[in-house]
Amino acid sequence: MSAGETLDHRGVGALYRDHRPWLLAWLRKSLHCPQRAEDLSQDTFLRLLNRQDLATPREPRALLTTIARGLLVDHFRRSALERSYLDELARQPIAEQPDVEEQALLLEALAEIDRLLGSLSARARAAFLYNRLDGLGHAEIASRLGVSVPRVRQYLAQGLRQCYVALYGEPR
Amino acid sequence: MNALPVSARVLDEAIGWRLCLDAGDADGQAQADFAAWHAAHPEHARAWAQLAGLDRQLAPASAAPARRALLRARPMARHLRIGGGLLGVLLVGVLSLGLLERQRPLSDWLADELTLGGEQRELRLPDQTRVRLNSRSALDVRFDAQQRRIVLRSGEILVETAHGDDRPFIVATADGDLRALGTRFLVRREADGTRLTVLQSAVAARPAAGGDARIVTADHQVLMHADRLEASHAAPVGADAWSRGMLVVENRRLGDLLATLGEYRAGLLGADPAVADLRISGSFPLYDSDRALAALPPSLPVRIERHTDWWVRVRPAQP
Repeated sequence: MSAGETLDHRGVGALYRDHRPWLLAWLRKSLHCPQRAEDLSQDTFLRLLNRQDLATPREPRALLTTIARGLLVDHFRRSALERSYLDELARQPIAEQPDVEEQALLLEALAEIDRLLGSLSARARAAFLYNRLDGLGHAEIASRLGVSVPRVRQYLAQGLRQCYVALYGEPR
Repeated sequence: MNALPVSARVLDEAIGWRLCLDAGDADGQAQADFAAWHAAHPEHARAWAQLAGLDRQLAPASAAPARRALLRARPMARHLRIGGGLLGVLLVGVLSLGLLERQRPLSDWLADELTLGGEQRELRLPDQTRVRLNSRSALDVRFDAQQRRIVLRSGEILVETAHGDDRPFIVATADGDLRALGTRFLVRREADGTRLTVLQSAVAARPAAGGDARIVTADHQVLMHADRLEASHAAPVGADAWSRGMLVVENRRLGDLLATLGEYRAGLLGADPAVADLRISGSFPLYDSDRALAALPPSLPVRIERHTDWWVRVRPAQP
């Protein structure tokens, strides 16, 4: 395997053999749970296998940590989201709390929405949700967030575009 | 519904219409224009239906606890390792392999801090240095026991260094290192190098290939390439105006000016190729591009063609 070629299954296999123990150790430094580190190291190689276009990396460990870092970020995001959701639920009257199964489904849906909102800033996120879920007008959102109306429109345009791409793919 | 993505132009138009109709001030004419647009091409109708499909995806977040959890899930705190120990916690923006901006290199999305088109942000670093990121910029913060180092990956920053820290403060790019000598300065990545503009006191510039550093003093500017420094000359007035929401240009292509203004505006702002190469000088408000557009016709042979507020083109003036 040499630089310049594309990475095929055999290439990924070689990477797996040579660098997996190292990657696992790297992940364990960031995660308390060894099982989770194990899962994420497998996911890292799965991602590699699903990429058709990748050139054989000059620095395999840099590539692996780049991918693993993304997965770690997703993992931490998701746990944080789960924690805040459960915190919020705990403040509701028991009678209004969904049962465990419903909670799991809702969490799934929330993680998906969180993915759709992706890189939107906190304000853009708030503007977008106020608009789409509460039907608030541009001026009302502007005064709630303390920004100008054109800024709100910009947030909404960003939000629509970001969600569109996450849901349907990059426009042609 | 057909889930195939539409073209970038149609998506922008659909978003423009969505915002226009959503604003609640669309008159009969606008409604009729929208109906005509919607009927004009199947792709238009598809984009519109797809945007409506988005709302269905968002529905599970309507319950209050779910909403609040989503609103809280934004910037992530990341621990910054300094000299092996955890000395500080730095808030960083959400790292995301977002697809919002197609042209940006992947490395930008992995940066510690980044701004999108039309966004500016101010950071306060652990040593109290202030860094303002211009639109479409990305940087990493690499502080350790020996130095305070910022790696500027793309875009432009305004740095105001804090006093009272003995470690050198360095802004690094692929072209070389810029070492602050207690000061306020701008650094911008350009296609062929790194432009340093010193606003206060001085900065020492050293190209990546090595050699002697050159001290650049206040009100001077220099372009640094990886292997050499160009001659310094007087800094243009208003180089840091963007940090105050203004854009000051001297003999700039109209197409480039509109591209910059467009980043700060929702919807489409385009230039007819027949006028894109006209040259213009002046200062323009970044956050009020309508006022900026109104300032064009007196000095250039152009007219502003508005389809709605979200779809504006600059065209040649009618003969």
